[in-house]
Amino acid sequence: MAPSETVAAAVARMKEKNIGSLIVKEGESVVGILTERDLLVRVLAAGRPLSLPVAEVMTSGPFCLSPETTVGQAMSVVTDVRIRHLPVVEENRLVGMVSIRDLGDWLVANFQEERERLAMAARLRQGF
Amino acid sequence: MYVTIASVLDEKGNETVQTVDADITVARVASMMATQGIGAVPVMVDGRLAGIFTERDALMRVLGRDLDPTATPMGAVMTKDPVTASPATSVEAALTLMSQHRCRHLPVVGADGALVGLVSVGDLTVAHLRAYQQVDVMAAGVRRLLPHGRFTGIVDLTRLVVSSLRRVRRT
Repeated sequence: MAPSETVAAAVARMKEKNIGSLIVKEGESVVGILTERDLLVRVLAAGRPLSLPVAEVMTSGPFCLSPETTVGQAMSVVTDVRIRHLPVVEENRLVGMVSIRDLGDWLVANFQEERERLAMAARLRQGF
Repeated sequence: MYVTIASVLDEKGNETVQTVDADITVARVASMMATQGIGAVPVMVDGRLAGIFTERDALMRVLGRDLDPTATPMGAVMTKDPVTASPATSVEAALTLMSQHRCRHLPVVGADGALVGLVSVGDLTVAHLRAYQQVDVMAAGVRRLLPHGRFTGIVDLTRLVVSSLRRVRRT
């Protein structure tokens, strides 16, 4: 999405694709991110119109990661700063996005795995 | 050994959960959420939990339908009868609920039906990671998540974590 497009266009795209944020790019450079939070705070709560350009309501210069950032560091940013989406940028070029979106899914899957492992360990102990 | 929602609420400092009534306008609630830095608010009718209003509802049901926030009551745009947790629910069971119902907040309701709190996916994630100390599996670079170095839409941090975890276990 370009910074000159309207908030209405951004809302339509987020609704259609069922996503919570959009990366705003000028050419190849990431210049901002537009999130549900930005829309709530800077449009809805501020009583501003949907005809505004995205540039006026996006979060400029968002927290970005490099591909070398560790998952631990990314996780700290997500849980401490309480942001849900982190663009991954290499040499000023957007190469991906890391999201907390499915963290819950993973934790659940992982917990089930952990539970199976514990159950297995308990069976082994009984065997001894 | 389960971490429960009750202990997550304790850790949050036991502050009284902010609620709104169903007849209040979206504009007032949005401004409250903006100034207080909250992402979701339980909506009450006659003192009972009737719904929840989230950033997602603001996007999908208010901005997405171009409704006038000063003329739209909460009751018209809230998510009705939200999925809830109890104080005794484990963090993992609550995350399962969030995952199944694709939501990021759960109102917490006591045995007597009274609202006692609200937990977010962030609260639960932090609680789970703290309880299980899974810091050691997160040392890998996020590059591995980006196929062929190309932009592929949303890349899931959690998949990298789980693949790291599996790798660590195998060795």
